[in-house]
Amino acid sequence: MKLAFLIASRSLTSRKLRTAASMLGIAVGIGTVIAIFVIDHNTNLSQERRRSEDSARPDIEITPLHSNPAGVLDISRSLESIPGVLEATGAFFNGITLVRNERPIADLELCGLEPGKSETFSAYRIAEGRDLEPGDTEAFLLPRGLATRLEISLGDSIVVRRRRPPVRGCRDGQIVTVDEGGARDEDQVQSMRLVGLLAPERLGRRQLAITTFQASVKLFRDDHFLPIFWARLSSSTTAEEVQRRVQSDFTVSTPRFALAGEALEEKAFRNGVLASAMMALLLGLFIIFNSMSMSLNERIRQIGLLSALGTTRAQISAIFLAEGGILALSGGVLGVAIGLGLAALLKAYRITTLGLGERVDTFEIPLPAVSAVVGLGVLFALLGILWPLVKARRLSTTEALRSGRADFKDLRQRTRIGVYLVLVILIPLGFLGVSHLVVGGTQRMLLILLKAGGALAAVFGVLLFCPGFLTRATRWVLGPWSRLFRLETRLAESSMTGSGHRIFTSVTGLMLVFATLLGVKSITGSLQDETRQWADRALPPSLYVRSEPLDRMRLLELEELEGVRGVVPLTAEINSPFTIRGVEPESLARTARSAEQHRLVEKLSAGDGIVLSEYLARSYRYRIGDTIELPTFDGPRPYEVIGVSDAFGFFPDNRKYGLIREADMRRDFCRTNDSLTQLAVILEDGAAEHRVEERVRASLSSLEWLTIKRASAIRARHVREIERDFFIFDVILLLIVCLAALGMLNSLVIAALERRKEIALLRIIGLTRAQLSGVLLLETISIGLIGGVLAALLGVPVSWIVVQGLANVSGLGVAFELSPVLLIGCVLGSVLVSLIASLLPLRQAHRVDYATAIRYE
Amino acid sequence: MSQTATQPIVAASDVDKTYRMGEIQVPVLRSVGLEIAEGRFVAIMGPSGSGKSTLLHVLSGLDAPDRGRVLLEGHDVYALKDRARTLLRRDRIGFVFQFFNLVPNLTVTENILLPAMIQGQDPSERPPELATLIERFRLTGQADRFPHQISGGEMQRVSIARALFSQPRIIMADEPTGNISSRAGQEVMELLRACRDERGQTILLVTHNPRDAAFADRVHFLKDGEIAAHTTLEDDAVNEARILDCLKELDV
Repeated sequence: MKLAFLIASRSLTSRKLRTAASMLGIAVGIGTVIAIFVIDHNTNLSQERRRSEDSARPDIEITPLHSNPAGVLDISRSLESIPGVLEATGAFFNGITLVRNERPIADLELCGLEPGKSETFSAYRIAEGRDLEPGDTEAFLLPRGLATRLEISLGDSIVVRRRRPPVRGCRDGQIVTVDEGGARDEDQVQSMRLVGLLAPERLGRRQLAITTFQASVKLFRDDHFLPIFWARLSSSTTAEEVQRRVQSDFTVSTPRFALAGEALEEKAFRNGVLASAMMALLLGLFIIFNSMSMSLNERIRQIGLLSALGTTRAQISAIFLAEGGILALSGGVLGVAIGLGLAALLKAYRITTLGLGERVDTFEIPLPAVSAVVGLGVLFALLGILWPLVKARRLSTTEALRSGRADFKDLRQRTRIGVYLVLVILIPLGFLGVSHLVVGGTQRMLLILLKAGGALAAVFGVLLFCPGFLTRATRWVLGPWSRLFRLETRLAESSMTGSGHRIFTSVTGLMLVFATLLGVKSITGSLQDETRQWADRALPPSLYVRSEPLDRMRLLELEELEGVRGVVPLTAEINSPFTIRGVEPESLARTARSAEQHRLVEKLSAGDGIVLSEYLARSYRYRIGDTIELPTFDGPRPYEVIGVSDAFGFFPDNRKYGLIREADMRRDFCRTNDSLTQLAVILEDGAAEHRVEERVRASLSSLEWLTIKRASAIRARHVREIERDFFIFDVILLLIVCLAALGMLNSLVIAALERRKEIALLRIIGLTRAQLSGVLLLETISIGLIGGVLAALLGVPVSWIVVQGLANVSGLGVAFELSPVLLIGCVLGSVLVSLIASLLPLRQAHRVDYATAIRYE
Repeated sequence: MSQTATQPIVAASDVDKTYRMGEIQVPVLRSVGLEIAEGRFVAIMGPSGSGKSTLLHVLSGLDAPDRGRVLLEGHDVYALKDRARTLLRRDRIGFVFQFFNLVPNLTVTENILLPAMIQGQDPSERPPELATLIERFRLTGQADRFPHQISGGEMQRVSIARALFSQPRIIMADEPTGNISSRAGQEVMELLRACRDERGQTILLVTHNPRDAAFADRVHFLKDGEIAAHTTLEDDAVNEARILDCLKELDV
């Protein structure tokens, strides 16, 4: 082992630049992925922790449209029969009073839950006593602290009386208070026995008593009550999908505390970040493997020499493993340090996997994922360094000593298939396992990833299985230069076609990086285009006013202002299950700008119709002519979808909304625009926003509270936010561009080292410095060009697939648009990275002591 | 670039060269002076480490001396800038090495054409002298092969063919037979001799093989970085037996 470490350490220290480039390659590869894993883990953890600490955690809440629904006890079972709903439970909350010796001792909330569901929904934890069981109709649970305070012990019975706060509702435009009920006094009380005490977490933190759903329904059976149902969904199911299944009877909502990171767009975003991390991992492992295995000829000669001197294969393996081990472990340690440092920086600058600006409160290291990444990195480094040993087994000692010629072209088909399987299938699958890629949401998302992976696999397969492709590509690229630089072109060509392994590595590295870059930038561009198009539709020159309540006279005054086309009151608003605004057709008619818009306003004025914003319609897959039942006090009220349009009704910043006639909203929800707090002031064509804003401010100067947003500012902010949210991609891209540059640098350094003698010879027989530079630069430019063009060939279909997929899952009307500037930039970027990476090796080539190189190497 | 008839084609005066490895200094050449007339075949002999190859490198403009001057066709080689020195080497000198030093990814023909390619010739153009050279060096069947596909003797013949192709006035050969069989070595030396006899090229040979040195017109012996002047052999005096005597005399 002493010999092994001696030779290994000498080998590492004698080629400092190569060692440094290899180690940095390993470190940056590992570090990039670790940084993303750590920040993603902590982003989620922080979101999770910030969720309400005193609530259960269902994926969705399902509310019946009718109060006192029939067969309430069976609803959970019928919900569980919906594909994708894993488990459901009824949850009922209402007010009770605890009575001891006929005296009320506490007013509490009673929560009815189905027994045995607490763990599934993280509702509570029993600290003492037992949990509720099926058939328990007189048992209840109390938070331990509350029980102590009320001096109620386990096993004590106590009288529970229902409280009946007046139920407010809306009937035919009139607010009604339901205070009549047929309940007899004796039905309002029930004796219950305390069977368990709750730990002070989740529901156990609240002032409530928990009993079985059945018992709570029994207690409130003849009252006006509206139970809710909680459900856990499979990772491939969305709230929207469940909503479609239960459309006519229930509304489905995502609890407030489950929103962050779980909305479809956010899932898609996180998947994008993680997919980029996978590219970084793939690239990193690829570069690590190649860094270690690239100096194949030199190593094979070394094996030949050691073998000739009587070193056994085991000893040779030990030498190589020692070198690989030192390099991989030090690279791994450095990688972990870089990864954690970078994650800390990302945290500090609030760059998260949910976009920029999200606060990350925690800094935990997901050890399994980090260990897996480091393990993979080290494994690939060792595989890379052992690769020459495998190759050398096919050569005799004298063959190995004499030429050591072994190249990528010589790979057997079986080996190629092995490499392919590892890089294209095993690593991505392993990555999915480790990263918990957010497939949840829909299987469509998985399909997108598969399609994109398929495109990658196809291009990668061509490169791997058709080694002649790169040779031909080299000739095509170098061809045009041969007229100007005949000698340089020929020498560059001979070098490139003779170093298939090196060229494959460099080209593939650049291709992966710039395809990712093209993909991310195309997606950002497409989203920005979508936002601009939406803004063109939904944001005519206008001002959005939010203020303390205004009377109608003020509105009329605003309408008279110079530059104002009309004012649309948008105060009447409900959220059930999405934002619905009540609008007055007359005010819309004043601001309509086309015949089509006028027709839509006409339809709306007929009543009982709803106009949906495009985003909302796409998200819920509603079409014109569909009926949506909105929950009202008297049960569901059908509304026909009469239009899908963004032309009216937007108010910052919700793009998912519906519009109904104000009279209908008054009738069904008792919400009106009588007292105005939200207005859209639509401007005349050509009117200057800031001038009109000044006039509006002057007109409303007597108000104490007033905010005005300009449409142009909203538009700019929406576009800017996409860029801001995608900033983490820029960080990842920067890292993987560095990684590719390092890989390229390593490849060129190794090439320069291996070609020292050739370079020396050429210089001796008269090649000038300029000609030598020409040869190396032509080679570099060609690699960059081939990598860039392949990146475009891969990046364009992948971007198209991802953008189509994004449109499919997010409900955004994004369309793939190919920017020629981006495409050219991608190819030029690839060439530029190659050129930058070639500067050091070029300098090294010029500093070759050719007298020594020619004699001793 | 022309020179007068009396002027030597290669001249070195007072050349010192010391290799430094950290604090250790190894003097390789000490006050070496040498003149080689045009059209002569000069061999430099000496034991390993005597500075033979270093002298060749210094004379060819590859390795600058610490002191002294080297004149090539009257040009002070190390007073020239790198580019001019490179061009002088390209146009005037052909090199033959012990380890052949062929470019592995170029064919035999392309390796022979390499100096011409460096001078700007199109590699697809095959001048008639190429065919002559290939035939003369018995490389006809190997013309389109790569170096790793031919034998050591053939590689060395390619290397000499490359050195001769652009018809340089000087050929510098560093142990050209050191890595090939004695039969192939004999062939190589005959080819070098023919260059001098038939084309009037100047040959500077570095060797430790008395049989190879016997092909020269003049033999200088180098010991401990100095030319042992009293043992220089010239013309008729150059034969294998005398060379061996000299080596014995020098205690080599």
